[in-house]
Amino acid sequence: MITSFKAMVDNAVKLLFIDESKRTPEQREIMTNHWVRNLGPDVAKDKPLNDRLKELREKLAKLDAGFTPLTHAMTVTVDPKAPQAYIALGGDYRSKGAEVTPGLPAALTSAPVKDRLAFARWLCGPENPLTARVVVNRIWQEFFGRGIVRTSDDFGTQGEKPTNPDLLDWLASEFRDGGWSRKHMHRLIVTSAAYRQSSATRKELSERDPENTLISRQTRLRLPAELIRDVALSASGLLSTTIGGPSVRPPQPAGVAELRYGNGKWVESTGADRYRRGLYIQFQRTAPYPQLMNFDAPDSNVACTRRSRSNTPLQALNLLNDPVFFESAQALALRILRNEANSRIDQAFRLCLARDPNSRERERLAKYVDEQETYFETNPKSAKALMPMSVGTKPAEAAAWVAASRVLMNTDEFIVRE
Amino acid sequence: MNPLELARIASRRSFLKNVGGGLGMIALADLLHGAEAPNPLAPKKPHFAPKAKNVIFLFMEGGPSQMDLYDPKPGLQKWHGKPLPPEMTKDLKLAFIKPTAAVLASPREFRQFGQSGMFFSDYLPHMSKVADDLCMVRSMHTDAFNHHPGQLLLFTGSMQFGRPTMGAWVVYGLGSESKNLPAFAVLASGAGTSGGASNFSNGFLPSMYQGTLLRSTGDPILYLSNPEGVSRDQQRAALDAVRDLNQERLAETGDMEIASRIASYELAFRMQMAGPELADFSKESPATLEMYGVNNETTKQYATNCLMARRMVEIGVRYVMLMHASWDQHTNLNKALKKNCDITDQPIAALIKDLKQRGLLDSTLVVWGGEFGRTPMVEIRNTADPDGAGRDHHPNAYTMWLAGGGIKPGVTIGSTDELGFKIVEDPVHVHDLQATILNRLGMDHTKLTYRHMGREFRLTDISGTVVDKMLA
Repeated sequence: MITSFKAMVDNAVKLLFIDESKRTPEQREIMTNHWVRNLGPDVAKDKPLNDRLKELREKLAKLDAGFTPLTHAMTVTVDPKAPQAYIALGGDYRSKGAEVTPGLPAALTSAPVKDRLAFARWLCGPENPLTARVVVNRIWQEFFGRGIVRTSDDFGTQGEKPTNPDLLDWLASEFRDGGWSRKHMHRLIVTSAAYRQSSATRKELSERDPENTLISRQTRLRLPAELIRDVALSASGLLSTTIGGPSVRPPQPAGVAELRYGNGKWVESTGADRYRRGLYIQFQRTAPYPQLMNFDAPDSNVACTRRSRSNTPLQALNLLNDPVFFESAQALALRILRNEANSRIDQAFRLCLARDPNSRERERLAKYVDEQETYFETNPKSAKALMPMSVGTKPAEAAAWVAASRVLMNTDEFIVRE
Repeated sequence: MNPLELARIASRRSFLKNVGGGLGMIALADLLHGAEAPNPLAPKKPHFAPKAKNVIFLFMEGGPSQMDLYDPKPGLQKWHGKPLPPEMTKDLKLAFIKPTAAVLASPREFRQFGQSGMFFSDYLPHMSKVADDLCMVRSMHTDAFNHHPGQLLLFTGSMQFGRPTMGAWVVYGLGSESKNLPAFAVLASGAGTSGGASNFSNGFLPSMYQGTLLRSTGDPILYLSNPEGVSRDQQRAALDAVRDLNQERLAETGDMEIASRIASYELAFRMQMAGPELADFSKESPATLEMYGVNNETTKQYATNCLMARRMVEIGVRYVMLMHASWDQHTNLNKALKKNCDITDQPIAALIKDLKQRGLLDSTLVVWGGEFGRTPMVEIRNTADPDGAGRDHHPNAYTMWLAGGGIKPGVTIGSTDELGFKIVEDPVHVHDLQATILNRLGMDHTKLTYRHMGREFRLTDISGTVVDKMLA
C-alpha cells in the first residue's frame, strides 16, 4: 500500500516506463489510481467526463475517510557506506580529531559493542544492572519526589550515591525479572506501605532523619504542570480522557503564539478537545503554552530527567485569572449546586481535595460563601458575570459558589499530591 | 543552590517546625517582610563595587547590517558587483551564499556626529544625536553563523541548549530589587525570534530565574486581570479565604512550601497593582511621550517597550530585554532595514536621553546588538528582482554598542578591514562582551558559577576577558 502522494507519483512515473504487457495487475491498478486522482489538462476540458469524475472523486474521498489512517514505522538498516566519524575538536565539526568507531566507554564494559543491535543487547543484558537501576530510580522519583539516587540524570562519579542502595537493587531486579513492565512497578510502588504513608511531618522523625532518607513519611509534592490543568478540569467534570491523536490547542492569551518563530496562529480547539489532558497541548518551541512554562514544564530543547518545582506569583496569577481555570471553577460550581445546600461544602472538598473538611475549614468556607452571596445580591451584574447562565438557584447563590470553587481550586492542597 | 544555602534552609525549616502552634504565623510574617527569610531572590552583594545596577538589552534579532548602519566601508565601491579574490575568502563559512558571491557596496550615506565624530548612516537620524553617550564596538565576533546557535551563544555563552541566559545569571548573582515585578523582564516587538523562549530561559538554574514575558498591549503580565465580575475587593476576599485554608493545612502538615505559597499569592496581589501602573503612561509628560514616539503609529510599539523599560529600571527591575525581530535581511535590504530603523531609532535615542536626564544612565547598562552581522557580499534570492538584494549572516566582524553603567562614552572601539570582512584591531568575542557586562555589574565572570552535572558552569563558559577599553 502506498500512503504518500509523493511516493505514488514517483511510483506511477516509474511504472510508465515498464512495457505495458509486462505490468502486473497491481501495477496497472496503481497507474489507474494515479490517473483518476490527477486529472490531465485534456480531461479538464471535457465537461461530462469531468462531472462524472468529480462525482467519483467525492465518492472516493468518502471511502478514503473511512480508512484507518496508516502510520509509518521507522526501521534501521546498516549502511555499508557509513561515513567515518571523528572527534570534533572543541565541539567544532570542522576540526577533525581522532577517528572513532562504535563502542561503549571502557568503564562500563570491555565487551565489543559494534552496532546498534549489540548495543541494545548489552543495554538489557544480565551483565548490565545500570539500565534497570536508572529506570526504577526515575519511577521512584515521580512517586516520592526524589530518586534513591538524587541525581537521576547522573549515575556516574559526579552524581550522588544512592541513599538506599539495597532498595534500588531490589527494585531493579523486580523490574528486570518482571519482564521490564512499568505497570508492574507502578502497582508495586503505589500499593506499598511506604507509598501510602501520611505526608505529615513528625518532630521526633524530623530530628533523627531530617532529609527523610528512611522514608518514614510520604512527601507533599506539587503536581507537574500538565497535571495541574488536569486536576482543575477533572474536579470540575470537564476533563476529556480521550487518549492519543493530534495535539490540541486550549485557549491561551492573545499575542503569545504570535511571538512564535514564523508567526504562527493559535487556532483554538473546539468541543471536547478544549478539555483534553495537559500532555496533549501543542508544544511550540519558541512560544510554549504559558501555563506549562509557569509550572516548570521543561522547554523541550534538552532532555529532562527531573523537573524543578518552583513556587511563584506568576503561578498564583495563572490559577486565579486564567480563563481555563476560571471556566473550571464555573463548571465545578454547577456540580456542587446539584447537591443539597447543607452538603455542598463537604461535596466541594471531596471533589477538590478528596477528603472532608475539618470543622474550622467548613466554617471558614461557609462564612466566605455567605459573604459572597450577600455581596452578589447587591451586585447582580457581577453575579451574572460569574455565572452567566440560569441554573435554577438564585443568581447570587450560584455566583457565590463559583467564587467558592475558585477559592478551593487556589488552595495549595489542590495542586499538591499529599 | 549551593549546599550551604540548603543546610541553612533545612535548619530554618526544622526550627520553625519545632515552634509548634503559632508556626504558620511566624513563617508567614517572616516571608512577607523578608526578614532573614531564605528568599533566593533577595538582593545579593556583588563581588566588588558595581558601576551598573540594571541592564537593558536591546536585542536586534536576525543580525543587523553593520556596514549599512555604523561601520562605513567605502572600499566596497571598488569591488561592487564583482566577486572577491579567493585568497580573501578561503576560510569563510557562510549560511546561504558562496564565498564567491559578488560584493555589495552600501548605498547609505555616512556622516560623523558629536564631539566624538562617531559614524552613523542616514537611516539613524536620532541615534546619531546621542553619539557621545555610546561606546561603539565595531569589532564584535561570534562562532555561530546561524540564528539560533548565535542567539544561544550571545545569551548563554554556549551554542548548545540548556544553559541559563544572561538575565538569569544576573538575577542569580545579584538578586532582585523590585518588590512587585519580576526581576528579569522581556518585551517583544515585530516578529517571533528563532531563539524564542530559549533567549530568556533559566536553563539549569532554578526556574525562579527565568525571564518573564511582559506585553505592551493588554495585560502587561499574563493573567494579571481578574476574571470579569471580580473586583479588587472580591479578589482580596478570595485571597483571604485561600490564605486561611492554606494556613490550616500548614498547621496540619508542617510543610513550609505552603508558607511560600501564601507569600506568592500576596505578591501576586501586589503585582496586580504594580502591573497596570507600569503600563499607565498618564503621568508621563507629553514631551516624554513625544520624544519616545509613543503616539506615532510607526514607533508606537517599540516606544512603548522602551518607555516601559525605563519605568521598570526606575523601580528596580534588574534586567530588561527588548527583543525586536527581524533584522535578517537576506532580501530587500534597503527597504527592510529602513523599516526596522524607522521603528527603533527614535525610541532608542529617547531611552538614552531619558535615562540620562533622570540620572539613571550611570547605573543602567544599555546594550544594542544582534547575534551577528551581515556580509559585505550580496545575496540574491530572486535574480528577476535585483532591487531585492540582501546580505547573508556574517559572524566574523560586526558592530554592537553599549551605553551608561560604567561604560566609556563617545568612543569607537576596534576596526575592520577595508571591506568589513575581518577584524584588524581589538577583537571582542561574545564571551568578552559577557565578561564586561558582568564586570560592570560588580561580578567576576569566572566566579559567578553554578554547579550542574558535576561541575561548575558560568556564562562565559571557559573563556572571556573584560574589555578594558570599554570601561569608563
